[in-house]
Amino acid sequence: MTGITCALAGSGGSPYNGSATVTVGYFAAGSFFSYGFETSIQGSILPTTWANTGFPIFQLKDVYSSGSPAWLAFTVTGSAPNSGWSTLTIGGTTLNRVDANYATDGTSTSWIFFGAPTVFGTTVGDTRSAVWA
Amino acid sequence: MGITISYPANEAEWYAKGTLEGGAYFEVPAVFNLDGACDTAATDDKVQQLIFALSGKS
Repeated sequence: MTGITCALAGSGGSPYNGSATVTVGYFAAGSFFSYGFETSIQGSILPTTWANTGFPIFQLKDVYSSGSPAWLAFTVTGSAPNSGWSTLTIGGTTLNRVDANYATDGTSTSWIFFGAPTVFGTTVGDTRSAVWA
Repeated sequence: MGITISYPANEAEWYAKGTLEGGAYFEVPAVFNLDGACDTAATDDKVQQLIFALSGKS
């Protein structure tokens, strides 16, 4: 038999749908501190790429400013569109993508959720599931 | 290069879109008045909030 077989990764759904497990780390700098994951800085995440997109996950964490919860940051390396997924659920808390502030400079892409409940807690080493759907 | 912002005409459009200093593209959920028009001042504040967050993301 000859021919070309094409197969999409996963179950054939959106490449932006998937999950990861974050092991919570802590980092502080200036008036900011955070709990969650950031590459080479704090915690860990598995898998290290976002769903089936190939974009490395740069950060996924709660950020505190001047001691108070300020925002949840999700950043991938690369230029990703503001589409392809609807919700991000972390540890039972669901955030809607359309409520996020989106920015991309071509080398990284961020979704910033202001006013989001903290989802990673404050215990280093805890784990949280993150699900994009 | 300054900040450029295009405001949504109505809630269905949802996002204010534009570019930040340095050229990064952004989309921010706009703030709307009771009549459905975009509250540009409040939306501008959200863009400034985004800039602050991006500056402190690491």
